[in-house]
Amino acid sequence: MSITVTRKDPRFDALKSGHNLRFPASESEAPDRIVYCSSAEETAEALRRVVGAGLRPTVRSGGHCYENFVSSNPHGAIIDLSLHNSVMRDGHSGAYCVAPGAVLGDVYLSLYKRYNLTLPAGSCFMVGAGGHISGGGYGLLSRLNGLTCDWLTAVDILTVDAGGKVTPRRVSAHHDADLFRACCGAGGGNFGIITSFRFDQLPTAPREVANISLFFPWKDMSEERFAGLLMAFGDYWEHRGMDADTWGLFSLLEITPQRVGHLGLHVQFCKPDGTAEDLTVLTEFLDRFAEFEPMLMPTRRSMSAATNVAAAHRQDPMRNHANFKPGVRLRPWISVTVGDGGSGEPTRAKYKSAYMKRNFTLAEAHEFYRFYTSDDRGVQDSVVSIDSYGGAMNRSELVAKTAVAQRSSIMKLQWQCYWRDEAEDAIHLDAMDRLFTAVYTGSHVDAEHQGTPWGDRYEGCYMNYADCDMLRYSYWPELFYGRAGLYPFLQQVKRRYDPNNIFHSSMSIREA
Amino acid sequence: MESRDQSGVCFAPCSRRGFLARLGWASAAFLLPGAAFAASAAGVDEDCIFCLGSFGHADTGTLHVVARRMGRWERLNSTATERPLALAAHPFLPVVYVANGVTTYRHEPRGTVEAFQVDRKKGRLELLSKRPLSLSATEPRSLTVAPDGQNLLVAAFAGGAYNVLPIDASGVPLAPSTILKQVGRGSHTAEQAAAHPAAVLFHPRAGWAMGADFGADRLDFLSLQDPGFVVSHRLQCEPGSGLSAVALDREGSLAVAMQQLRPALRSFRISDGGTVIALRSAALDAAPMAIEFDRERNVVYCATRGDSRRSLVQAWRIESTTGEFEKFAEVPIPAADIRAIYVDRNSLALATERGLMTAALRKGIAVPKSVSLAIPIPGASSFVSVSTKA
Repeated sequence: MSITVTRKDPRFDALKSGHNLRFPASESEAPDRIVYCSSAEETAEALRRVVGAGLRPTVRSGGHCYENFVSSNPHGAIIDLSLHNSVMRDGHSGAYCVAPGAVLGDVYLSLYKRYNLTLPAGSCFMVGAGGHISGGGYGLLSRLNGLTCDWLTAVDILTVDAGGKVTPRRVSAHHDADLFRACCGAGGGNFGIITSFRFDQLPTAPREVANISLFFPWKDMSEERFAGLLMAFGDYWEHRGMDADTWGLFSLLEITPQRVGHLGLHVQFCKPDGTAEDLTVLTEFLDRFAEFEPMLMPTRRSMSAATNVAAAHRQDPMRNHANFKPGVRLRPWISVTVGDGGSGEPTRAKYKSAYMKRNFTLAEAHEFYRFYTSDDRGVQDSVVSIDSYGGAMNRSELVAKTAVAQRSSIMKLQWQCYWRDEAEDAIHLDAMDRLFTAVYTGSHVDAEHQGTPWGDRYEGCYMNYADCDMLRYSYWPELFYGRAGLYPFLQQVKRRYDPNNIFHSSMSIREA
Repeated sequence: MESRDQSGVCFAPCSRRGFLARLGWASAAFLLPGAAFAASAAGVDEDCIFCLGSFGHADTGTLHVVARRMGRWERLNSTATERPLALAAHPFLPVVYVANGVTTYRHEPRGTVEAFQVDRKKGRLELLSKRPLSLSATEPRSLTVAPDGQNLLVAAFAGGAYNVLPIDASGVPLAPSTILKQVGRGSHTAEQAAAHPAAVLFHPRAGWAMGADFGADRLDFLSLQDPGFVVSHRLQCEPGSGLSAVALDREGSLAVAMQQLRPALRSFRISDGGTVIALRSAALDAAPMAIEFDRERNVVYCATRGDSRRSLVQAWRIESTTGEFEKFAEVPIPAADIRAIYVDRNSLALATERGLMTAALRKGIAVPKSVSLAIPIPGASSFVSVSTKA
């Protein structure tokens, strides 16, 4: 039996928001009710009631939607699937089944402990599977194993037909193939409610991984040196990172404001066989940054906050390991994945994204440097995470099989800004917009697409890092779904399976 | 050709609250100043103020104030708006509401409603507010103000939703207090793949409203229940009919709906007890474009499409108990599109693609020789009378 929390319920205030406290923006924007469902049947019944009452349903799994797609639902109903969270194997078909409310940490633990398998999903273990997988979620193993949605073989989904009837469907490449493809990357809040993700196969979990975190002090960072660091990072992924032996290497370069004191570089590596016995690839990657004199993150008590690499090497008990690099830690993959993967407390936040097909330009580096060395109040609580990309995610045959258009990128950028005070909303939102627009303005971007990551060097934006600022560009669907016909295809799927547009948000698939 | 349909539906809210609410509505309407029903009472040829919307070609949307003074029409003022597909007037404030048939507002999929205060002496318009509808409530095509002036009901055609916006004491609409997303479809696969509320109309005295759903071939009856408006009942109509407009007689006991896809007029009896019964239908030779009830004479004027340069205005008398239709006049109009009809005792006013056209009425029949282009405003799309007394 589903549980309904209305505005009169003492739990409502605590439950009305997801992880981003900007939403709902006001009391009047909040839904009238939250319906917690713990099974597909309960979800179907809840959806029937909501649609029958003429209410707008929005769907929540982990509550990590970056924009106002879920919590801002005036007079509507949130159908919350966080209690529908099983991870199990279908005894009949043998398929691995992940319910949408399962959080990634539980998915990792269940798949690992039960089957020694994993999903190449994200690093925040409180993120719900529902939005993550349906939006083409990725993570530290994705260069090696592809996107989460690349492994899907079927999806159980509730759709609402033209007459308002709720229809449960199991869609796959063989049944309602169009809807299945749409759910492999564009399934978040567009077509129905996914009640199970089904995988016939999943990758074997790595045994161990090597990881290291380095930082580069801002005090030594001239603009030239900063640009050099960005381009050294980008150059690796544009060239050497294309080779299959590097696909187990994932790295994240964090650009933070000067006041933070340093820029961060985080690396995880395992070989394609799931071991980390030979660290040649990792060492080669790290050597690229020697000229920027990296420091080690204080990962152990014996280290001071600013320990140079040579000193760390002398202290490291594993310093005699073959090909060992000072500061590198070898740990069981599951420990790293679950132990390091928090999501932090809910807070106010703004996010943006960009896929990059080529290395950084000097113009981009200049704008990052200009903003992050300024005293611009709006950017002081922000960070730009530059994720390595490509590898198995760029298999071209997946373009036609999934709804993820971006299969040529080498890096994916996530702009993030966090703050607590509602009064600061405008400051941060404005600053993030200015920074983003400045980075993508200039001769490195097509004349028609100034202000956006679109053109020869870029591949647009990621819908799971939704950004309503992009709506101001008439071509925003291209940014998220490319221009190779995916968006018109999704519009057809929308017409067929959600003809009354029951599932909608400000960035959902729109009528042709 | 006529047909009889005995299907019926009871829409009266049965709750105590609903009952009291209806009493309250009726009382409020009864106590209104005399101008509350100015739209229907404006029959004499004295100074009358109207608003007319227009859009198309170079005109991205304009709201005009026009006046009829001693039988002559003139434009007093204009201001920019945005695709004014429908207008409605506040029952006792000089405020006009515009349904902007747009699909985006600040880049989001929303239609909008604007409220303008009309300075009746100088004919000036002042924008009171521009209010977005709910998310996905796109392309509003019809709106109606409750007789007590407290709520504005909007039909969002493309978005398939009704929105109710409370109206404050100064006539300003607030954010939607009720959002009713509709589902349904009709038998015409291309035009009726989803629900499309096309027209809404408040009952002149009671607290309920009726909506015509073009996509789902049904009449929806909306009434106020705790905590807001709900679709309390529906009346399914002929499959593939494509209801696109509704009109009510003076008492609100006889309704006429316009079928666009299977061109016809259809009558309904609405009893005091809240029962709606489909009565008769009358086939039309061509697709209808607009209807209006002449509440003085129990006559419905219906504009139908002609050729590329001409359309027709037909006059249908309706027998008040049986709902039987009788066409008694037909007048050619030298305009291809008639988007709104306004009728009073002496004349018809038509919003056409050429502008505001008028025709004198004699015993309910438009006099052909009197048809003229009163004010050339290309792309005229909507028309409403504004209360002339405070």
